[in-house]
Amino acid sequence: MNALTSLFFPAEDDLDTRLRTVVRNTAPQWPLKSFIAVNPFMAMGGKDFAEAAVEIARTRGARLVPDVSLPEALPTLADAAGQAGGRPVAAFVTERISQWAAGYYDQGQAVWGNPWRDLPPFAAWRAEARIDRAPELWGMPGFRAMVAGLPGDPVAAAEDLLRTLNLPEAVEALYLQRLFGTVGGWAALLRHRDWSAMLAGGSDDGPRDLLVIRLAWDVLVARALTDEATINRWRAAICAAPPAVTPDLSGLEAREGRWRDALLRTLAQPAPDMPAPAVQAVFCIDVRSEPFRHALEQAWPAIETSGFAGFFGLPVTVLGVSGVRQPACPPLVRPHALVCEALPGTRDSLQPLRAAIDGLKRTGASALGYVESFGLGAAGSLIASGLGVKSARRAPDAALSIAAASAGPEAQARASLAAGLLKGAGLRQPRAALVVLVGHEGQSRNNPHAAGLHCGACGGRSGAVNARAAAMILNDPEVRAILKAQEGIDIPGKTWFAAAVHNTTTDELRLLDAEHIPGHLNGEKAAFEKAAATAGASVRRLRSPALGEAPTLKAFRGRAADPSQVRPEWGLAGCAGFIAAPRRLTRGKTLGGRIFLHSYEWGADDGFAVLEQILTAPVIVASWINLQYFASAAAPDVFGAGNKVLHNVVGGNLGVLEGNGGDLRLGLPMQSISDGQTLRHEALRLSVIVAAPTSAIDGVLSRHRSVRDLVENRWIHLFAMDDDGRVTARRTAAGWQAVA
Amino acid sequence: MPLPDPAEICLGLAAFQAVAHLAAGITGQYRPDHAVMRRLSAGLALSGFGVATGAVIAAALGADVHALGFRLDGMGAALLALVMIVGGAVLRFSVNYLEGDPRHAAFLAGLHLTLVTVVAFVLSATLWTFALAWVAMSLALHRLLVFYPDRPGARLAAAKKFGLARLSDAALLSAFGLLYHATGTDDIAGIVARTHGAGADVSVAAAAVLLVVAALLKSAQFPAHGWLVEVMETPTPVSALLHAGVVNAGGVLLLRFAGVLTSNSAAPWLLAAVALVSVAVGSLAMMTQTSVKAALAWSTVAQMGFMLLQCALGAFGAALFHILAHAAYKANAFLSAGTVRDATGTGLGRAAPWRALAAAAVVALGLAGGGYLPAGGLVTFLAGMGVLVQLDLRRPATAIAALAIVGGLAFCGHFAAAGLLSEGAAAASPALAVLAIGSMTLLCGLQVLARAMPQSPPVAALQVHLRNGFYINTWLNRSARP
Repeated sequence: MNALTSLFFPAEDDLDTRLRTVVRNTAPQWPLKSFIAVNPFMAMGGKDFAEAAVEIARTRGARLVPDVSLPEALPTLADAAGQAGGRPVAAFVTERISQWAAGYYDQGQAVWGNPWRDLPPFAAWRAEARIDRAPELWGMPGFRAMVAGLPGDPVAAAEDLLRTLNLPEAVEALYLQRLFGTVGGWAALLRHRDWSAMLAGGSDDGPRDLLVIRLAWDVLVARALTDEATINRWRAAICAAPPAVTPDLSGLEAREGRWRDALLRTLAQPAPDMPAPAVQAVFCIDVRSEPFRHALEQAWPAIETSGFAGFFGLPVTVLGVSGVRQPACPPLVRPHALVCEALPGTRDSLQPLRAAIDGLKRTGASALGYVESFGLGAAGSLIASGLGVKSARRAPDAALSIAAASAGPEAQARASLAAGLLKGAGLRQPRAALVVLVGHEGQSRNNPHAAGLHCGACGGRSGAVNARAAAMILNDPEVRAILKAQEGIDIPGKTWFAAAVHNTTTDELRLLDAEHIPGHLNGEKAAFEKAAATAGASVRRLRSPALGEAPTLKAFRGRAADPSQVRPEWGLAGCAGFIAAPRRLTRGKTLGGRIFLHSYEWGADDGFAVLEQILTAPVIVASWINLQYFASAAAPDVFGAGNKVLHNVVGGNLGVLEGNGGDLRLGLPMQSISDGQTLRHEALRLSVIVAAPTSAIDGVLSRHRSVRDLVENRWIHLFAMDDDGRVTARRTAAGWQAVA
Repeated sequence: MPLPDPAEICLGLAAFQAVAHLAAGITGQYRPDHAVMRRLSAGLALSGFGVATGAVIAAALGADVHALGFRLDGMGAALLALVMIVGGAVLRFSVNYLEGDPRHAAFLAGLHLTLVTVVAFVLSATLWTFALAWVAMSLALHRLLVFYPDRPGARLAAAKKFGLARLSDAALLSAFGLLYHATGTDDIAGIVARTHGAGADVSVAAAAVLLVVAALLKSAQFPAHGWLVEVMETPTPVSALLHAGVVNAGGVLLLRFAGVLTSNSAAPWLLAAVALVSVAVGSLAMMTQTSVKAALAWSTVAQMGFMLLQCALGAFGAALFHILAHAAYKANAFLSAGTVRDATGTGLGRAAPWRALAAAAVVALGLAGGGYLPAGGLVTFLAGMGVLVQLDLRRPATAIAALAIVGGLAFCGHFAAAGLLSEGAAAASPALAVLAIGSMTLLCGLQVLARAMPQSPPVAALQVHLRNGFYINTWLNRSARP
């Protein structure tokens, strides 16, 4: 987690550093193609939840808890000017900055793009603002000249602008934070670029420049639209000491407690006996795996499931058949191996012609001809969608090859990945001859946020590729030889690792590369597939009322293939708990699909290395998901993406706008959180339950401040469970307390 | 017993379908039961395809029947089929798309009511029915545009649309008054027949100009386009219905009154001038947009411009075909606007074919100037010029194949659609043809320039102004209050 710490806290104390400190308080948001869950408050872990809620209310205008005592958002100069003139000045400023950012960062929507993309962001903005007539036509005379008068260097410009405002330092930091929040969507997207740059050892000026641009707008708007008296009144208002409030969290605590008490009672039920398994199946810890695992074990008790992060420990980038490279691992990990997909034998001689014709609709003059020639062809799709005909063609699985990892001989590198996976997933000695690694994927059409239904641990992609790659590595005789020689991990020759993918939208489970499974496992394979089909049917029955869908496979497949469906599935809505424990303590218990379920056996964990890994990676990622849902449910206007029926994809794949414009939208759409009448995700903080000695847990917390902060500052709740499934103690800032 | 005329059956089916839509619309408005409405809408989408099938058969058999101020002729049948297909797709899409919205039933009801007005519009045979449907269509759509009345952007765009639509109503009603006065009949076909060759009549000439004004306002031509690129504040299916259906009303008007338009020389010039500006601004602005829906909306401005240009040049068959093809394309594009593509990179790519374009323009000018190009051929040629600029001529086989396919398909379409009209094409005025070819060459040239030197100061400045649609909306919005 040291990487995480260094992502936030730079050292020196000049203005540039202060600006960068402000922007790093904003959490990143990934673009749509890799739309993974991020904790919107990740940089505030060092503050207590209640204290942060006050700060978020002041700088973002969002109320995380329903408490009237939370303060109003700080006014910006644009707010003050708007109030004085009775005009939507702040909205206009956000709109203009959003327009500029969409053009400058566009990833392929505009064929005639922003001409200044080669310049740094601030310089590019300044060049454009000296041409753009919009502010003046909207009623801000002399705006272009004022922009031209700003220094060309962003930090120098910020220095000039701030000097005219003459704010005390503490107020200035809050003010800048508030400004950044008014363009919070773009701020988060640019922070993602910064994040990627920092993982690679660099940094990106985009967020800082965006802040300076917003600052310039604020000051120039005030100059153009208001007088000195208004500015003075504003200064007095922003400098006034805020009333000291401590928001009341008791309601939130009570809701969390009610849900958790029921969970603890379920967990405390006696554990059933577990027979020796015929098949072991490793699922992702995603909350949608839990009901399926339960149903699978019910369908065939000789299956033993376990939970592990769905990227199976492979820090890989996937080079897809489309030629696009995309990381397929969690955001905290820097990918270093490459998995290449290839479709064998599909060279298409008509491809260039098809591409040429398709390109015609992208430029204005040629689109006229395109429409006359091919436009009528679209009537076919219209008729099909009008009749409700849905095609769910699935592309054939591509062949995979794994390119060399960064260090050491290739087989050696693979063996070390394999060792990490086997230890982390508790598979040092597989108990069954067939071990199935199950990745997961969502299925939806015409859905800008489709990646959010895929596996977050795989970078918002289907987990199928990671599962297949992991199985390939583990079945490799050369890898197994190295594992035996160097790690003392002896995998029996008859043991086979198979890959599979769990479609969380239809609850179908499909074995991948099944033709490679050796003949002696045919019986297990057939029985496993049968059990998976039974399990799918029973999970669909569970899910059907909440979706308002008939519990048949046909209905669920239709839903997944429906381009007008705004709720293909409920995703991770409802997520509220994380359990790291042996499966025997949770097996056979109905947990309601709200738990991230990680397998962990502390007795087999040498030096608690696996515990450390669980608390610093999967728990963090689960808390990111939980807090993303929390924020989108509690403050949908600020941290939610709005109404899907109004979404307008911007910049190719950067994100969505709601309606005509405004800021880039953050977080999850209303339809992912609510059924229109009631919230389907109740905003609860994650309760983490770990079956390990409290001393061992404390050992990890003492070494990892970021995790300790999350616990002690009440962003997550942490509990310890004993070997019988009883939760015995709770960790707070004051240490461990017994749980009655 | 003689078999009933298929056209009569089709007109009856259309009437039945319209009444069903009306009933569904009223039901949803006053008895909003979501489950019932969803089933009704899906059912009417389905029955609409039956009507569409009938309409296609009727069009193929050369239908022409009248009843009660409505008429099903070739053009009416083709447009009826289009409305049923687009309307069916939009309804079916909305059944699931707005699920959970507390006003889902009201939304579906709004779609049904709008469809009633559109069906009435495309089948209108008299001044009365036409004008009534024209106004009703705009009012029905207005309710859908402010479906989320708490969104200031929605109110603003709808208010602009409302104002322009009333101006357009005024132009239309004045034109109709003049035509009724000049011909003494309210039957549209009768009016067209009686005004044939009546170019000297001042009131007919004035009516032609007023018809053009009404069409330009209705079809969102520059600079009255502002609302069209701002209506993303309402659910996607409304955009699909608007861009594929209602915005074509201006074109349908001019096709119905084609004879009046050609009887006069000022009206086509006005039409061509505004349409050409709209083609140029719309085409170029579309290329600079950063969001999917804004690009689609600007593209509609250009496509409507091209369709109206075809009317101005007398290529009425081509214009009808353009309406059909563009509607299908655009409805589908909006309904699938949520699909995110892989990042494709930006920019127009390689240097462009200056010489090929110049050669094509010279040939076209020669042919048009010599009077050898019929209107249908001329507009195919204009569309082909744009295609030529975009193709990569370093792969000649691919480029030639693409050009041949595009040109061939478009020409066949024009030819087929012309067969549906009583007046498929009129001779294009050579001077207008030269203007059109010159403007299209200029547009293609600007596109080449944008590709070749995007960073030169005037080109860069043009990019900014175009991206902002020459600030017309900014200027109109300046007095908006929160």
